[in-house]
Amino acid sequence: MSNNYELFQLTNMLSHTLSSEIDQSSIANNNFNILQDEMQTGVDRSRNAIGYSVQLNWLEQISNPSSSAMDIEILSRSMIEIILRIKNSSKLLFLGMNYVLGATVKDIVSTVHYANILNLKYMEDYLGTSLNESEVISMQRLEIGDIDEDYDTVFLDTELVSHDFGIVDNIWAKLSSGSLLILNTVNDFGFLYSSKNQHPYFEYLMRLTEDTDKYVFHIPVATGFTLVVKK
Amino acid sequence: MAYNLQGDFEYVQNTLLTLASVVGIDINDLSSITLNDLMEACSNTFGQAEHNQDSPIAMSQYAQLRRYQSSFRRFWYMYTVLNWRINNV
Repeated sequence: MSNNYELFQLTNMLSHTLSSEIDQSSIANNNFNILQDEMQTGVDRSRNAIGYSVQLNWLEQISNPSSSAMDIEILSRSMIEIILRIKNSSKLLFLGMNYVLGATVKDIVSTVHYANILNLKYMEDYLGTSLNESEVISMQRLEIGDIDEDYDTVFLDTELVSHDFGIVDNIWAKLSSGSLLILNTVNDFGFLYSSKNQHPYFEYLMRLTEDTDKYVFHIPVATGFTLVVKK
Repeated sequence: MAYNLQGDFEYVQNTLLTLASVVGIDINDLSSITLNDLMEACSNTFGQAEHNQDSPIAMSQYAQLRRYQSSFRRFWYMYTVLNWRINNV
């Protein structure tokens, strides 16, 4: 095993998850079509980086089924699936950029509510179905924590809340003891590890570890996870 | 479709306006603002910064600048895509 990437590939080969069995070509084609569709609006992800992740133009990289990004992508999705199955989640709040993962979690968790972001449209297009309105929560409601109080699991892509970490705090306030918060893509593609305490996420992540109502676990695998369990 | 384009657009627009106020931009017509305008305003507010791990001050400045620039990139991009969809779909 000469590098981490080969380890990722082997891990995917030795895993049996919904995420590892998804047809990579169909995802790649779908991502390519999304990029083409977005370009007609007058913007181009390859020229206009739109955040932390997309500085790497991630969607374009996973428009190639044999790219290393696709293997890392699958490993990340599988990690989330592992966590949800171990947790045996029954009600999930999903605020994620990855529309394929969004589709997968519907097959794992009996009740899933999704944040109303453009990626949700991509997920509905990918699935070829529409969600019920009761399954979709506006960002305006999430911002003030106007959500149900019986979620046992919350999935958040860190980038989507990095402009206002108060969103995380307001959601957290509604969770009950034993609930799990999954912060995904938390290492900012490794930049967190090179910048350490000067990274934009670091101060908030440290604060989580200092809170007395949390058990916090950071997992430096793939794009990074921080798992937070409510005491 | 349960995805609500109008609601998504309103959130993105309002957040972009809020972020813009932090860097001193008073936007009456968002569609006339370019990403370069926003990046320049960030630099004017937080100063030019570089990713220099040997300098804690430079790294702190860089972190703050990067946070705002990244947020602007994301919300400006989403604003442009959603605005187009509202007017053309």
